Amino acid sequence: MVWIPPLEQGLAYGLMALGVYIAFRILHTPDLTVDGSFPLGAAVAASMLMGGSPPLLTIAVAFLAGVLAGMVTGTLSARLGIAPLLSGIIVMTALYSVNLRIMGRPNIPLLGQTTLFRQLEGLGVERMWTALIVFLPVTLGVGLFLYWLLNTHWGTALRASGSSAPMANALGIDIGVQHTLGIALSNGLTAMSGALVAQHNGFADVNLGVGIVITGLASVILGEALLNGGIAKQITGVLLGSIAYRSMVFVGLRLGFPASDLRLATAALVVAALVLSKYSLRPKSLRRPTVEPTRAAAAQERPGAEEREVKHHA
Amino acid sequence: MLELKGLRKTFSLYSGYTTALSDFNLTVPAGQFVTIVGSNGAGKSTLLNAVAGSVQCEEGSICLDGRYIQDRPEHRRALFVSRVFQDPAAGTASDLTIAEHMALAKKRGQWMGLRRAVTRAVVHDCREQLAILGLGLEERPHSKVKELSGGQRQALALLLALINKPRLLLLDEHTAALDPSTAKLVMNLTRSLVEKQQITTLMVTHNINHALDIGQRTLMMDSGQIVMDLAGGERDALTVEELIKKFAEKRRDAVLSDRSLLTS
Ligand SMILES: Nc1ncnc2c1ncn2[C@@H]1O[C@H](COP(=O)(O)OP(=O)(O)OP(=O)(O)O)[C@@H](O)[C@H]1O
Ligand SMILES: [Mg+2]
Repeated sequence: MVWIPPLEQGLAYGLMALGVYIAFRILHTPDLTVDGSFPLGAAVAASMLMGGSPPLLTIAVAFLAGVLAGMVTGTLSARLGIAPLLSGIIVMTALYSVNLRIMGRPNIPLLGQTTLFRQLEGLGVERMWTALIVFLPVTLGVGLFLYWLLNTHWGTALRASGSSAPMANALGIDIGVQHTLGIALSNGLTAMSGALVAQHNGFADVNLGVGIVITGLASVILGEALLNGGIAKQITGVLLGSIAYRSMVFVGLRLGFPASDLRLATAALVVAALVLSKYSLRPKSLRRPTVEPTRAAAAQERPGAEEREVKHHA
Repeated sequence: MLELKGLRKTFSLYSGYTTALSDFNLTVPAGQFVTIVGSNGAGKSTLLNAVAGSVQCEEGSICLDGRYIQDRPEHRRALFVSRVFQDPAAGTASDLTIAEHMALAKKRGQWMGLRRAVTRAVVHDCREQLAILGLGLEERPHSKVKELSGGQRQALALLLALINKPRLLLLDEHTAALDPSTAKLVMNLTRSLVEKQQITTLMVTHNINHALDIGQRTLMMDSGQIVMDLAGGERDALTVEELIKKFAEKRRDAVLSDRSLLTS
């Protein structure tokens, strides 16, 4: 069944895409730590599996490792005043060494190890379905958790800090703490994604994360093209975007494009999507009106307002 | 009651430094509405930022209702102090809905827990409060704020600032970014909402009519100090022209045609 691999990949990388969504769309912070925390999750999971840890535990620890990495980035930018973009690059760079230390070598094959998928096979599940049985509940569960979290007071405060720092501050929200926790959550999910992908692919590699943030962004942007609106729609959109992106990759590879061109194609896709979203192709008449109907109602009470506006535009 | 004693704030620039507040003293009795005028760079915004906590002074004390708050960071003053910014985009968050703003405003300065923010009660409250504005916003509590006009956003910001009755309200040219008719609307709301609740208020304005018309006291600032303090009968009797003249006299490096100072 040809639809299974892209769906699996879309769900596994979907957690990373959700992480990118938190950083780029909720916190409005271009965080590149992701490129380091994805292989961090893979490294943690792989070396723990080598040591005989239960697969589920490795995923939890990978999440915590990602949280820690995110905390460092968040602290660098929120407490020490280093620009967020730079903070991310610094931690990403440092993580390269950290990941090598954790793994002890650049690559760990997991072929003989008991991964989550092997465990399921052991329980008699057909090999074809094992990945979906793991990824579907995990990714959907994380999606639901995020939906709940972002709608609590804390989550709303998090979104406020990302959207308008002065307002959040004036409301008594410690934006430094919120930013740090947000970046931590983002990288926790990314590392978790890395741990799942490593087990699924059967290896961990220090270079697993190179450019991953752009594939996450591609998923987020594709998702926005598919669905936009409230939090529920945004989260669903990101996951659908991730699946769409992996499907495109899958089709591209099937058509014979060399895998080495993947990043170039992804970069082009992101640029195209960003440009298109700025210069919408839809005719003006179909775009959402930015002037509200209530403005007209208000103008009725205040004669002259409409006139002035007309003059203004003329 | 708000008591400011000996506030001093200097900003270092590439060439030397500039004194934004120098030995600034002010006492505002509880419930008083004070308007503040002064030319560009007089230190009005710095004063409000210092009181709110987004600017930390080198010297001086800030006492609000018996509590010394000068050492607290801004987010730890929010329980008592609320503010409306000049820029509607700063005072409201584009990505959030009106109801979400209301939910956060109700928790201003308090612990933001892990309970659902927008409950039915919040939406109900939201509709009720928005109806006061008379802008039709009560029909759409779930609209994102980026879909509102500048005036609507500013009216909303004002409404939110008054929730949970703050001990001190700070308004920094909160109508300056609006077109004249919307500015008038927001100013009328300011008058009706704030006066009704008798909240201690500092309002910076460049509109001399508003400065004399609204509230009970008018301060004029220059070079980081108060150069004129008017209240009561003296203030009531003053005309716009007289105030402009007085300003020119008081200002050390007086430039009579300082267009930036006042508009009437
Ligand atoms: N962040 C800053 N860095 C450096 N200098 C500053 C800063 N903020 C204010 N200043 C300086 O402090 C002085 C007072 O500025 P402030 O913004 O308080 O003036 P204002 O009275 O609000 O003026 P306006 O009417 O233009 O808003 C000015 O000389 C200004 O250049
Ligand atoms: Mg100012």
